[in-house]
Amino acid sequence: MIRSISVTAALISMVVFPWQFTALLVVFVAFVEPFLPMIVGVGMDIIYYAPHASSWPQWSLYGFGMALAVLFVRSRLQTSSMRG
Amino acid sequence: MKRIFLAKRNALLSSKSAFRAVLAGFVFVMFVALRFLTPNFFWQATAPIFRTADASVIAVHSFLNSFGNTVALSAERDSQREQNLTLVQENKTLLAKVENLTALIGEAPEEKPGIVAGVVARPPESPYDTLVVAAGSSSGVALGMEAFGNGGVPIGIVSEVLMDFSRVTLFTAPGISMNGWIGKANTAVTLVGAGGGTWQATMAKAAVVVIGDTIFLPGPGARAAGNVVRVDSDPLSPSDTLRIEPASNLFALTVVILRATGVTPISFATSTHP
Repeated sequence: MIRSISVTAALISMVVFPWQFTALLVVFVAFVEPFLPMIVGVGMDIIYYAPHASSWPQWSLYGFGMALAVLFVRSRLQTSSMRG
Repeated sequence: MKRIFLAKRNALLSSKSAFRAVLAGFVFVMFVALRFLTPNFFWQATAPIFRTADASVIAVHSFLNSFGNTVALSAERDSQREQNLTLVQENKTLLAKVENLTALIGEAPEEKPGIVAGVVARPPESPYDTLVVAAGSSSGVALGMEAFGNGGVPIGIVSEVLMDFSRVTLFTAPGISMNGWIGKANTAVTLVGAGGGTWQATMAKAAVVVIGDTIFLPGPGARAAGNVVRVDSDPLSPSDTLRIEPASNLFALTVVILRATGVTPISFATSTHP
């Protein structure tokens, strides 16, 4: 339930809160839902990106990068459940 | 009793997770399709969400202010009321001067009326320096129109037009450069968008620029657009870096005026493109 609430809060914050708060929220929620940075980054670019304002959709790239970083960290923290 | 074993069973992905992933992917694809294939409908559907968000922010702000020191708030209100009265009187004086000058030298060309547009999305919710306004081609908006904030301060240029909505790229967006004047000496300066609602400019140290100097942009005539808030000086460099903020608070815009001025003050600074 906490996972659902935190993911919903992060998605709503894209249109309610400043992007700085959204980014901070995503950092915390990413350890619960690792693909959230990617979703929020692409969502921000879908809503707000304009070619004249930036050369490329930066937030999608940041989101992908962060999702990869979180997955890497989680893979190192979690012990394997498959024993030979 | 005969045991039934499921022949196909994925140890890594349950059917419930797969269903959720497919559903999320479908919603995402629909969202992307709406945004890019029917952008006008997308903004018509999401504009109420943005307006609800704005209203809730105002309500929370009012609620938090209710805990403020009433004496301090009252003093601040009285001070601002005084300032407002002073500005109204100064404005009347200036208008009278304009009328006298007009009688002497003839009438200036009438400024075309603008299109009033409500702001749907703005920084800092938007990470890019753009505004989405609720006026489009159906209201007469065209590409290249200039956007003006409170007090006629030029703030941006229309970069995308839909039927009922338009996108305004602010002059402070990274990669946008524009020419203007600074200070009482009207020294020419090139402003480069630094993002986050600010400009950056480089000036020779010989042109003495201080904090508080006003920036003027063309459009027609000279329009006060911003103020110098910081001067970064390096003893080893012959020039100073100026940090400039617009005169209009971009983060609190609710209404802008769109007008075709015939002036294209911006260029894209290709040297800043990565």
